[in-house]
Amino acid sequence: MRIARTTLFLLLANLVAFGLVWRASYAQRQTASSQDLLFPAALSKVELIDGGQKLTLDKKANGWRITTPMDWPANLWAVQRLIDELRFIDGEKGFAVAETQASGGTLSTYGLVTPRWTLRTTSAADNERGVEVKIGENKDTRRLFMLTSNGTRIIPLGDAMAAALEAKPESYRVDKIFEISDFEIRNLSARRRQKDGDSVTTLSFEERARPGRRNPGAEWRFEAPFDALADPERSAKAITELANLRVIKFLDAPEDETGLATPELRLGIEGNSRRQVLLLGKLKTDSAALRWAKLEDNAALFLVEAKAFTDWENPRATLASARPADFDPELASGLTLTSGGRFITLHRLDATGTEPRWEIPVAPGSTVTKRREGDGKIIRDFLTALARLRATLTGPTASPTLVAASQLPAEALHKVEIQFGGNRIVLSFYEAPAGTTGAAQLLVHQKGAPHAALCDVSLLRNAQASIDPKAWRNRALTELAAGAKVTGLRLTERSDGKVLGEARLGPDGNWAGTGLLDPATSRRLAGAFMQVRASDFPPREIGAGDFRYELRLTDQAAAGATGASESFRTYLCTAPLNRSAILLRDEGDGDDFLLEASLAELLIPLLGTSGR
Amino acid sequence: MSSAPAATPLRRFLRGLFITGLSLLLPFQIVLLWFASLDAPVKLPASIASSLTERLAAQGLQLQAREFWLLPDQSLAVDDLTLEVSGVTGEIFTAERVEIGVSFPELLAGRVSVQRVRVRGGKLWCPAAVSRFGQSRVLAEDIRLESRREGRWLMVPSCLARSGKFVAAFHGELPSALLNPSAPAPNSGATPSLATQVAASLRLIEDILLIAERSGGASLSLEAQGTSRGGAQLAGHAVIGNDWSQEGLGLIQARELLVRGTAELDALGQLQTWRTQMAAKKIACRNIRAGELALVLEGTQRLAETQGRLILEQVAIDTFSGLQVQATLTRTQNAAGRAGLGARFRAATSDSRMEGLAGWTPAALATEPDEFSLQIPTGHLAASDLLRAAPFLEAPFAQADIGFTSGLNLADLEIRRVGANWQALGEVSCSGLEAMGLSAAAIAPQRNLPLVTRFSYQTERTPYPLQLRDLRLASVTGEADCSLDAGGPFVLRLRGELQPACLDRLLGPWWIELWKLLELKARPYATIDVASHWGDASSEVHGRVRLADFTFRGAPFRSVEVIVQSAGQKTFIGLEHLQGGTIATDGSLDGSLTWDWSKPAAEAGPYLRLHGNLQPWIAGRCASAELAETLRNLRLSGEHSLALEISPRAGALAVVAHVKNPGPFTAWGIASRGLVLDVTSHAEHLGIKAELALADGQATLSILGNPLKDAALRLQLQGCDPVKVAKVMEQWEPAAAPGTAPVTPPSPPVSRGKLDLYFLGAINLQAPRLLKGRGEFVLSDPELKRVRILGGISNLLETIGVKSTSYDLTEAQGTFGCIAGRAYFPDLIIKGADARLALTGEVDLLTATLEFEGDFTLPQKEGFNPLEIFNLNRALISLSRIRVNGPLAKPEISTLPKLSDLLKSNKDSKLGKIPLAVLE
Repeated sequence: MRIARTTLFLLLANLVAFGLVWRASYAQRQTASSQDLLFPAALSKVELIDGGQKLTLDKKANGWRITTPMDWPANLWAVQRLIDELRFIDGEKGFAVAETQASGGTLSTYGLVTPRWTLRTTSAADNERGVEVKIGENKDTRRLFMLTSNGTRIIPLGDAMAAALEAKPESYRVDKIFEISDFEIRNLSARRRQKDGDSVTTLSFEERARPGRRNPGAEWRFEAPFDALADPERSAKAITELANLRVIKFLDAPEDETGLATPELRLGIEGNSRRQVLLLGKLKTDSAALRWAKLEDNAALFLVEAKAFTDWENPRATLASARPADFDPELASGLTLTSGGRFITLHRLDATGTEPRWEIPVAPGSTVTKRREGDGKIIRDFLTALARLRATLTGPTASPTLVAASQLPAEALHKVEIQFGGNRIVLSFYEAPAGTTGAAQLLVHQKGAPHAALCDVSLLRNAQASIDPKAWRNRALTELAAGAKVTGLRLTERSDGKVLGEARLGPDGNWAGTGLLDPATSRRLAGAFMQVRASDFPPREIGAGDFRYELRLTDQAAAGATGASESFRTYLCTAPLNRSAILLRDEGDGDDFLLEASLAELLIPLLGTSGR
Repeated sequence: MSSAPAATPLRRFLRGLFITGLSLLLPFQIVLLWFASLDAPVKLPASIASSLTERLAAQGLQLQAREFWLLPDQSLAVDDLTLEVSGVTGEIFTAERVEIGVSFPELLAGRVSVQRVRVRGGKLWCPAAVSRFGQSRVLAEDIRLESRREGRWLMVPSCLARSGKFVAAFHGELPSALLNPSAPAPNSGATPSLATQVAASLRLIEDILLIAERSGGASLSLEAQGTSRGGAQLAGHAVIGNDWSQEGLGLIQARELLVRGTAELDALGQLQTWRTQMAAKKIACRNIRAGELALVLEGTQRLAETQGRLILEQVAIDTFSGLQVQATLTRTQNAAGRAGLGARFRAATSDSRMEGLAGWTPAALATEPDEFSLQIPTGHLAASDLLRAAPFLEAPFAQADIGFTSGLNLADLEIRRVGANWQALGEVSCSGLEAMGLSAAAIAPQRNLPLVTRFSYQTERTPYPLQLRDLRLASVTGEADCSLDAGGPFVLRLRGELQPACLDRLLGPWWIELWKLLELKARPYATIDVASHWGDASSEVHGRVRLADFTFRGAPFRSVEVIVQSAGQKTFIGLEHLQGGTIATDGSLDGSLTWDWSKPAAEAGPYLRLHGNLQPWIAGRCASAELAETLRNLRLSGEHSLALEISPRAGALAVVAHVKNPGPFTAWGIASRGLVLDVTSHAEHLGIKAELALADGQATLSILGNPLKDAALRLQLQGCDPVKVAKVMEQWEPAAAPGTAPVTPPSPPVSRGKLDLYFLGAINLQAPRLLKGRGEFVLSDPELKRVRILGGISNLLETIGVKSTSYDLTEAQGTFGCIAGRAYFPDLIIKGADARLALTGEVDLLTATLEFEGDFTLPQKEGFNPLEIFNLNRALISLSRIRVNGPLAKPEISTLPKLSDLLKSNKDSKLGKIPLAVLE
């Protein structure tokens, strides 16, 4: 029983002790931490009165702004420098006024009887509570001293704070002119004063459907004086540079000197919900590199760099699209190429698929005498290269070389008409202007466009002039259907009919061959010849000589209900041109072709060397 | 009487343990109560202070302080604190005073929970071993921190730091979970030591501070605001002063740097999303400079999920300047599902532009390389920019003799790193490229088309890491496999029309020599495989070239298929269907042309062997133009054989030709047959031996020597039709322009005459009529000549049947000598059954005129016939002198005597006398 009492005592004593510790700890937690900094951390307004001059800095949603003595966005660095210095002012530092007075000193010693500066701050986070302090200067030491708002303490200030206080209101002005950010701009107008009336160029950032483009997205377009695409890169760059334009110097001058009563150029930019217009006047009298300017709704005059407006003097030329053909190649449904008075037409057969099939139909007057299948890859590459054409850059400003449509010759060298369902675009190719340097340069003009672009057309591989059906026909000449296979091979010499080799696929799946066509070779050759591709269709006699050999293949279709049917293919072969090239002709086709290298390298060893 | 049940041993043990625990806890709580009830700071005993420092030392922290205090608010205060980290020499952090409040209830529960932190006069140091400057330096001074924990919030009324002109400030509320130590990430590998971590952090801070090192100052201001979900929203900005005290110093320099950012923390203090906007001017970092920078980035705590937009204007990298870059940063995911960063960029200089997509996927393991990819659908790279950007290319370009002046157009370019290897593929076109003499202008001078090719580069593909496919250089297409090593191998497969000179430097001397022999009028079409090594003049070549409309040593040819096989020291040129002349009947040849470069250059070649049915004049043209013209009217049947061999000998080419035509053919319009012609030519020596059935007889011709000087000429005709021979001779007209179409003369009238002629002399084929030599001839022709003594009267008499004044001459014979364009006939006897005409005279071969005179004599009748006295003919004849002069084609013959003839004998006349020079 005694033991139980002891236990109880110990338990109660521990509980009491715990409760007292808890109470003591809780009481401590309720004690506010001491705050020794004089100014709140988050300021929303700073007023600095220097004698009779007042500087007011207001924190707005988009940053600090000077509201007195002028209205202009504030330089963040200048504001931050002042605020940072205020933040470090420690209320515990310095000395008490009473202590000073006790030692015989007065406020006048520190210039605080008639302080030079009065600083008033407001903190939004602190319920707009204001703190007002006086700052005076000791005449002897030139040191600054701050009298706290309750007037009980004097705090010496450092040099950095002194420098921040000495700054003139002008130094708080930011040199960026426009408040509208570049990504916010949706419309832009340039109005240039001319003798015969103002010339207005308007650009807008809008989304509009156009032939050959699927969901083009918002693009910069000329609205006036013509409806045409602007160059996406140059216009974006010019607009960004304009939006970030800087003031070289704020300066006052009479109106007749600035010429801003009748500005030579007005540049208006329109953001989401606001518009700012920059008025540009005369060049500065003693400096042609500078130009007078002001914002339409702001009285401040300033100088800007004259060269910053090179693009805006004649934007319809400098910002015009450098791409003569801007379209999605995969949307093209047809193509007609005209050159030298002759033409060829290509039609897409199916609208879907990653590699659509094309045909080269026989059209009256065209160069095509026999319907062929077009090579989808060649056509796609050509269309892609067309869509990527860009004007070459020339001149010191590397501007695209454009020629007004009115200055083009009457007759084009070549024409390419691209159909997109019911729509089409027509591109004409003209000789490059005299004096153009560099190979493969042609003027390319899209019908209806205000300008033609001088382009390097080398990546077109001269296809714009290729009206020979061979240039476009499918390189895949034979492709056996799934399940079909080559079951027989025979290689003969045409001059005397001598059989050089013959092979046959047995029912057991093994090849049996004679002469040059041993089973292994036959298997490889049969497998390879299931798909015959041409590397090229030579446009002329290439010196391959006569067709000396004949390769006859037996194809067996996939076994169906009626049994497997056989068909034959016969290829005439010349002697090898070298180790990788051999000229063939499919007897059922008629066009000579160079066999694709991988196939040729299988066939050539069978036909001996290229020598006699 | 019942007794209390005896306690079990376990029960007794538990009871004892409980009482012992309570007994120990009570004094501990009393001590805590004392702590909690303090109302003045209490200096901690030295033993406790040393115990504390020892425990920290066990964790790698060396703490030194002047005093340790226990404050009434249950905080531990330290005066003049100095903190070092084991492994890093030098102090890391110092402070005038640090106060740390902990929760005693939690301390009772065994957890150290920091409730309040207050720092005054703190300094952060970068030890000498860590600093880039190699000396201990203050990174931040005047560090002030006030923070306290309130429930789930960590309230930070102010956190300030200053480093020179750099000021950082923070205030707001943060999730208190930030203070909880986070568990190490799985698979993060070995955890670096505390010293390493501290050193890395200090170095990072130093790098950041270096940005503002020499600037007019910088300010970083951050504000945090708690959210209803227990997290916090951070917003802030950093700005850098515009005034720089010193140029060229500082790790990163920037003007007007302004960074605005926001971030969101969740209740656990984990970074959820963040976004930052940066704008700056005149950025400089190491060797990279930019005039303007605009960067917008947003992402999460995973770096790979960062996305944004970057604009760099006027970028300069080393000496490469004037670059403008715009990029949109996006998140990507590779095939393995790993997140990465993609940048859709647009870069441009004044001459170049490029746009595409760059991708970066960090490796899962530190030992693996990161994935990198670059896709450029379209771009243009100026030559000057390429060499500025990659100056190291200049040396290999020079070695491979590659130069280009214009620029590269790029399309569908893809560059990626797969494992440790790099791959690149795409399409490129280039104007103004010249590689080993191969250039668009050289291949097709009239069609200056650029190089276009698809390429594939894989570092691990040996020996040809670079493959060019669908290559098109001017009119040539093909493929190429190349090594990029110095002296590495390459293979070219080219086909198309080309100007042979473009391959001179690639294929070497045999190619140059080959085309020196040929004069092309149309571009040949070549299908050629070339295998060689960079910088090696020799190459292995296999291919065919079709030539059309060309001349070989002056001889015209319509076309030929040339088989080229050149390997090592041997070059074999097969010639198939070498079709000569201008029309199909000019015949063709097959054969070969070889060089053996193992021999001295003079003997290396070419060795030409041809056979076929080429017309002789074409082969003769290979020897000389004169011979060709001479032979131009020798039209063989087409079933003939011609063998031509050309080989180098003593510095010149020796030509041997053999022509055999057993059947009929026409020679200078005369039906002939059985020609055997051998022609040899070497330097200035020409040898021609010909035998043929000509003009119904047999002709043998031999010319030996320099045909342009006095080549020895031997001509023998036997039983030939003199009229036809005359026709042949008439057509040996050297003045005819070379290359003119062969004249087919009209068939001469059938003659019954026979000519035997033998001539031995010398001839200059340039001027065959100036031949020199002597000969003799016998001409038998029943219709050779009828002499009418009375001229027209004799004609009249013949019509009435009186033929006594006419005499037939049927045979002519004599000797002759030729020199200086004249043929001298000193003893020409023309005789018939009743008369004999003895003539002497000369033929001017240049003007084709003749001048003969002689006496006509009648044979004496046997016996005396008085009527003969009155035979007027005989009288007239005895008084007559026959004169023949005028053009050869139509000579004038006069028979009436002239008074001068009567008065002056012709015995002293030199007419017809062979000059002494000929006789010698």
